[in-house]
Amino acid sequence: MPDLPDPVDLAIPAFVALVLAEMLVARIKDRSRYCPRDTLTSLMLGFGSTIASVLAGGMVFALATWVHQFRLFDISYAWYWFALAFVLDDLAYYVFHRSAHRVRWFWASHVIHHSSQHYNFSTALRQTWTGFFSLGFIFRLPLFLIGFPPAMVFFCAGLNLVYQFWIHTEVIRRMPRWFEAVMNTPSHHRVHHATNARYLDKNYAGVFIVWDRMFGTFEPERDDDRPRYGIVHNLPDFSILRAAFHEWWGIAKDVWAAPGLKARLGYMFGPPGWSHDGRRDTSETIKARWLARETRGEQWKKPTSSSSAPDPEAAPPRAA
Amino acid sequence: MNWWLTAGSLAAVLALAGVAWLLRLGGTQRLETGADAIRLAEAQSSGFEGKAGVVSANGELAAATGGPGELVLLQPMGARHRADRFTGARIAMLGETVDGTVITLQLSPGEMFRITVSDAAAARAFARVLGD
Repeated sequence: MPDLPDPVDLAIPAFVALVLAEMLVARIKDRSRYCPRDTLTSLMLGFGSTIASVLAGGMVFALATWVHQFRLFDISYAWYWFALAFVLDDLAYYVFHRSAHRVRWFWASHVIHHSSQHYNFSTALRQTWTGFFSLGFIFRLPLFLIGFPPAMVFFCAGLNLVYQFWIHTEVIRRMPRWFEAVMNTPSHHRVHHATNARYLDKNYAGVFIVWDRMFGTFEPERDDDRPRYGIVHNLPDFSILRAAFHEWWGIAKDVWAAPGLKARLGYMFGPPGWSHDGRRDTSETIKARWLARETRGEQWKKPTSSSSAPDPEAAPPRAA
Repeated sequence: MNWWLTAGSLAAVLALAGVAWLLRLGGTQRLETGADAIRLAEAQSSGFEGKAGVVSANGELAAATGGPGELVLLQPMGARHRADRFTGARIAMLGETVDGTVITLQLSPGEMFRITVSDAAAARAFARVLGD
């Protein structure tokens, strides 16, 4: 087994340099792109995440090695297997990431990454502390069953994570068309981080945006609907602990108060925002309401047949 | 665990946050009009549909109402805003001063909030919608 380096460790100096460079651009162009307290929270969450990964990494690797003994094929460390592992690992990431937005249990861990109202390189480093607890690693287990060696898969996963760093920026508007068609880019990923109803639960890709195009979750960024970042219910402060654990605390409270087993399971494994009495908003209800409002807006804009006739569908006046 | 890497990462984290502070990044985004307040309140508070909004004279605070008792309060949080939604809010006091119209809101029993608005007409319209 070759001694493969951890790509994330090697990339840390580049991460630091790029954050610095982006800060300088923000200083010149738009100082509000960065906020010192938000940056500190993001970076401390990233720091905590690396500690958590080290603590849990041994157990995950041991599990991967155990699963690997039941493999279907013997796969060597030839370069082409690395290439295939990288692509399949990215597909596994897509499935994981989609689940992380559609199942509250996984969302409780992933929400940390979305909890900033800023979108910059420091946001990329705002990573979960509870990935192991949420069992997010199960999505990679099929790769070990196929026969990809754990060291190879974790190396590819590291490369995947490093790739995803540079797409967390507003500095780059669009990449060349061919690149936007195949690869995940800052534009595509801004959509993913946005809370605009149009953009909710879209663009789950890690490296290759083709997965979203294939599975119907792709949404292009529009110049007339600029992304607003954060989560549907933004955090009230910059507390690191709140960012790391608030959704887990929310699950615990909901499960405690739930009226029965079905509701308890719903609060744990239903989509984020699910509630037994339908009082809360899920992304579906938010989108439906937005769509209804958009349609209503279009109706308001409909021209009447006679310019002198009062428009029966005129928008009600808005006080301000 | 590589302790050098860990210590170096922590040092880099603190250094980067320090640089952000030294570069004076952040600040507070100013809101200009009641329409800005409504837009932001709707964006920040799922399901809220604003009908009237007011912005404080310094552009930092704002409030939007979607009908009787329904209020979203916007306060600066770093370079962005945080939104708090109230369903039983009411106007406790509305008065003119040299700085503008002072709206005192009762957010909940025992919880008051004051905002000074330079646009008197907007303040009256806001009070009308919230208090209807």
